[in-house]
Amino acid sequence: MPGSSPTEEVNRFLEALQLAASCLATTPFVVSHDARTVLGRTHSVATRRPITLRRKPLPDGEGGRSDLRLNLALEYEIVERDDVPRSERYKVSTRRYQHHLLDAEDGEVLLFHWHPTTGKASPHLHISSPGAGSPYTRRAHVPTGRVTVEAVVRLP
Amino acid sequence: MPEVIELTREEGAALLDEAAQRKLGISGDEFLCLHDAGKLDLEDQRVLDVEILIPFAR
Repeated sequence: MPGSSPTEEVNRFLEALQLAASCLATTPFVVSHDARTVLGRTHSVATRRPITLRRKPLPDGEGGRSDLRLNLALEYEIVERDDVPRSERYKVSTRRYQHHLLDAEDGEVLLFHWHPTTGKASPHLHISSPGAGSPYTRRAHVPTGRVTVEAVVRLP
Repeated sequence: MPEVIELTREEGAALLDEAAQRKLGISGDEFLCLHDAGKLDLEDQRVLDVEILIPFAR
């Protein structure tokens, strides 16, 4: 939902990320300087350090702490629109993301990417260790739709 | 909920430098130089991991 000021809209965007991540941990996010106010420039938001994912214990006692970690990073711009009501004037437009599922040693497991201005233009997935006989190598760009933070935090 | 911390330009440059050192063994300034000159391999995941942090330093 757009906002009536750049700061309001960016805070709304960041709160959505915080809420999505809050089900996993309280690891802080960091944003680049002036990320709530400056239009026409690319800003970044990222997890300050990987989020350790915790599995809920199963009823029979199995499960517990997960050995997976999640790194999130996005680029966005604050866009001003002239042809809409004032309350909807500003919108955060995501320009790029990298959502990385890592193992306990920070080794890559699944990498969800969208970097339209750099290399492969469409959203895709890298599978770090494809199984024997898999047609995909680590470098393969497996097509996906846009993968939101809300979706990737539900993965494990 | 997780906190959101806005870094200063200097803190952002330090973040980029740390990532460039860890991933590629070069300084953040050197990374930016190579990036601006178009001399980085954009198929290299390590480069992409650092590139997304550029806005923190500029």
